[in-house]
Amino acid sequence: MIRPLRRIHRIVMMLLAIMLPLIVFAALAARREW
Amino acid sequence: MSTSYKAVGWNRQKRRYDATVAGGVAAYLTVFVAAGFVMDTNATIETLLIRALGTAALFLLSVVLAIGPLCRIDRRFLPLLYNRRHLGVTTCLLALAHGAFAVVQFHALGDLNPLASVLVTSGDYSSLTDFPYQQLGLVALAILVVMAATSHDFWLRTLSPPVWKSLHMLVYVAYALVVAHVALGALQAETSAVLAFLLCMGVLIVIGLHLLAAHRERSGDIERGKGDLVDVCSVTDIPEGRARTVCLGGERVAVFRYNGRISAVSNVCRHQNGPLGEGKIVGNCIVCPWHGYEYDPGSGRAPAPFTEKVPTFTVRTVGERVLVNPVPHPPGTYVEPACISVEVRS
Repeated sequence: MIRPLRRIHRIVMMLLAIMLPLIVFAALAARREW
Repeated sequence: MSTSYKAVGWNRQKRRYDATVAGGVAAYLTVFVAAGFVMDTNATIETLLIRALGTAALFLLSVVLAIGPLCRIDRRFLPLLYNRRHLGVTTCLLALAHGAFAVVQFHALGDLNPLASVLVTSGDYSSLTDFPYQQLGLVALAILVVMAATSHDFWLRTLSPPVWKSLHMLVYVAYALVVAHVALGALQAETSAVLAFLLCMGVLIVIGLHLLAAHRERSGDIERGKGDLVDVCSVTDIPEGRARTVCLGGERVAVFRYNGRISAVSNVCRHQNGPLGEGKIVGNCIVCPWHGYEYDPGSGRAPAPFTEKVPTFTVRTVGERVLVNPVPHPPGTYVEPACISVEVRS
């Protein structure tokens, strides 16, 4: 892959790797009942 | 790779792939709806279809995202990548059906236009439990529709590979929106932990595979040094008919060994930026492992009548060492391959 795309891909992946688990666990923690 | 326009270059492999996907989706929807009726006799067909279509779309989207890193980790997954776009379009169709059923079910009975109703539906953006999650799904669906509409090679050529690839990286944004849509929507109403467990596993697998593949690629991206000719490897490091990918001047270069010669070309296929260095030489041509695009290793040109060209690099051999000039020649420039001495060959 050419360089700028590779950099964008890496940044997007790092953001996702941090944000997605946060969203899922925050949503689970906020659930009213289990 | 075609010289005349054909909407879809159907072949036996593509037909079997599509038939398998269609059969799998139909079987999943049938089993999901049937099991839903058995487990909850009060469930309606509309609700079960909305759930079946939504979960099928999320599962397929996760599979689509997992194929890329899986192929970088193990070459045996490459056949899945060949028709990945067909899976993407199927995902979009399932998501569209899920959205259409949901709009009819929840928004069609009021005074407002159903689509406007989705956008103004009540909710609290500051609350996790009352978040208007349907808007998240709508934006994700819009991205999937744009990607499916531009998935054909016509758009790849028209937009150019870098623009097309950048556009299609929006799939990660769509995935994040879909995960948030499920976590803030269905998960909030669901009392069973099964959906939460499956969603967490899916997210962890997709992210884990990407991080693992990135880690492996990073270890191969060590800059080999600077100068007119950089020592990249030994001749014996390159298997016959294959390549070794090295990083020169920040770009990946595929160094091929074939018929007692060494040639170096850019690692980036002109079609979809596929990794040429993971391909092999078949009939004197480099074959891209992703979709089979071919290039002459000496000139970087696709065999006539095709017109694709990749940059080439000057190569020398000193004893068994391979030296490459990091400055690329313009795409399609013929460079005399370096010969491997008889002593090194044996």
